[in-house]
Amino acid sequence: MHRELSFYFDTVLQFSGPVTEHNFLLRCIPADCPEQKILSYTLTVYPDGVSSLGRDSFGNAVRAGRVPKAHDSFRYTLQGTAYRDDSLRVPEEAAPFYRYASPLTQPTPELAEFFTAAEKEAAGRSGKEKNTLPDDVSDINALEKAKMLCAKVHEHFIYTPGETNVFTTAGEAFASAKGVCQDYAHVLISLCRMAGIPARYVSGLFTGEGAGHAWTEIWMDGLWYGIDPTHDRLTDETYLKLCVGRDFADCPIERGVFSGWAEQTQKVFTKVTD
Amino acid sequence: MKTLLAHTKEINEQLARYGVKFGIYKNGTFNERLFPFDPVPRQIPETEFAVLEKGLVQRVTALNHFIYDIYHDKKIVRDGVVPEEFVYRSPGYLAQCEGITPSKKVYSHISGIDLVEGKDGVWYILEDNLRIPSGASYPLIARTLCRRCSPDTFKRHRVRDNRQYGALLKRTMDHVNTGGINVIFTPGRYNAAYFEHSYLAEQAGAVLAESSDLYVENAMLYYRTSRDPVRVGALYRRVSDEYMDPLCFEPSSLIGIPNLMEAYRAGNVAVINAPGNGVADDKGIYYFVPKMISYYLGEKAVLKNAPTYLPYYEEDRKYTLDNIDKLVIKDVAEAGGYGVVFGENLTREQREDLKDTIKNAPRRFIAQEVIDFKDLPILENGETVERKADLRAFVLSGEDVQVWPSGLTRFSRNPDSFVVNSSQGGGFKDTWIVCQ
Repeated sequence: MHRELSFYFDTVLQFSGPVTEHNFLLRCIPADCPEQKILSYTLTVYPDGVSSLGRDSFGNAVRAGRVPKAHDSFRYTLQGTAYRDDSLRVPEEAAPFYRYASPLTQPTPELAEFFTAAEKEAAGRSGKEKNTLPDDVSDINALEKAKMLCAKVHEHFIYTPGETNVFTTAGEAFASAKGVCQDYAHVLISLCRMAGIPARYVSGLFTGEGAGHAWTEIWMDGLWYGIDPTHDRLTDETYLKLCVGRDFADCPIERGVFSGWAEQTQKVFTKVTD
Repeated sequence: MKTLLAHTKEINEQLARYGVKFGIYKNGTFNERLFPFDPVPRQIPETEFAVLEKGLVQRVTALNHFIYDIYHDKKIVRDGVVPEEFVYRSPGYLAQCEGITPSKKVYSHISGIDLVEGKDGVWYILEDNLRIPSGASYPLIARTLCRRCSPDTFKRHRVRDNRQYGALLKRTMDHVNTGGINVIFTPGRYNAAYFEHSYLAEQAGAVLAESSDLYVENAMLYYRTSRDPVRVGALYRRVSDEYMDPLCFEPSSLIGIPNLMEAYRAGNVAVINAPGNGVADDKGIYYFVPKMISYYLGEKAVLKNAPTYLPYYEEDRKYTLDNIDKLVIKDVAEAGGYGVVFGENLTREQREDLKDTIKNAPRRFIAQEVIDFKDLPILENGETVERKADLRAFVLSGEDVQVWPSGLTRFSRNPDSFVVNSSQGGGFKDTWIVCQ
């Protein structure tokens, strides 16, 4: 079902003291593709300095900039409208690196064990264990398999903010069973890749007010399917995709380095309506 | 030659004064030590060197094709010549470099190819170093000092001059320069190879800079001066890929240049060597280089690889496990002489452990026949002794691909060791290409 979404995404970084020589890289310009047509957008960055637009190796639009002068806050605000219709997706190839473990999604023995158990269970459920090998679930398509793994991940985790950070690996998050959307997504990516399903990380927004969100996309027969392990559901037109990568480290929405001894606090507000 | 040898002490003292040192990390601490120079040169007849030259140019040309292919069409993988997982599981493969085309399509501007000469007189390629191979400055300065101490030696022997390395490096940089100055970008004076960085800058007429001297704005790289900033067109960076740009790679890097990758991606600066080259000098990929040569160039490899087995292939795995006591086993993720194990030196228990590790992670290892390579004479306390030595040849890719008519000969100071890496405590020699 198609929708027109208006989005507003505002982030303020507050520094405890003045910082200089601030270099940043933003990936908050939403992906513009047939199923997500960006009708209009503005991105305001303050202080801005000189910036350039580019596209990274994962296809994300990036805005790189540098603010040499002293400042004690940094704000970027994205506003615009998008036309969403998942039936308009066009087939594409999945880059081969989406099939291999990336730094934050390396399988650990626990993850591998969890994966094997999930596969066995699925094989049992599909009534296949009689005549074929117990782990033969090849008749289940990639999307069905990913959905099954998604449910498992959702069940395993207790949604707990503050337990993990941006460097937490899938293995670490899985072991503690606590985390946020990023951790759910990483674990699901790791499991899907173990199953031989190309999978990638998505940073984005969804309808309502709050903070940013992250989910997983899996590739099957030429198309990417969004799957949200935090909510245990497939994504739909209420989701707005900002950027993608093998894992979070490939596509943080904002990354920056600066000179100066300052603590940094971040406030994010997002609002998506249709 | 006698006068030259008589000056051993003076030359080593001069080298120490110039700061020809090597930094070694051992057990978590950093030690700087001198890189001992042995004055007896390795001599390679010009006719023999011509064959090496031909083979090295061919090899580096193929490797350059390979890197371009991997980050673009991936034909060699699609055609099944190189198994996909050897590429995408390689720690040197950087997805962040996908689709980037460097200036003039050159990836490995400066390649350091390690060879050994077997007792049978056959040269074997030991490994390719396509990231930031160091070492050219050592024979370069040693030659200068030797000539100063013993000019007559070089009148009597017809040795090809090697002092044009700086000019060769400059030409290599100029060829890919996108408009602006040439810069050698060093992590700083605490780096193991800082002497080399400063010496090469001087020799190539390039500016020596650290990260605080450089910044990126509007996808252009600039060098700060006391007046206006100056644009940089070619950056010979001696900082490894992962620390090069904190906004693209390792975020905690303090020695990188933020957004350097954006300038590089936009084609506004040449980065020498290109980031992502590690995919081609991986020990696992080494096995496939002769296949690359025939795949991309339609030629047969002029120079031989050391006989290598990939436990990844069942047949090779069986051979490796059956013959482990006569093979050398290398962990593909390690470099600098680390992670190299000689089967014959292992206890029975260690050997069984290693076999299990290989069975569990065959992709992680390569196995090679131990090449009985030629000993070279070195002077030790006034006496001549024989030690194992290898040769690092420097191949520069600019408008054409050229081999520097010299090279770094490294020897092991331990009579029982085959490992000659400077990080393992070896010394070095000058390499003479001799006209008959």
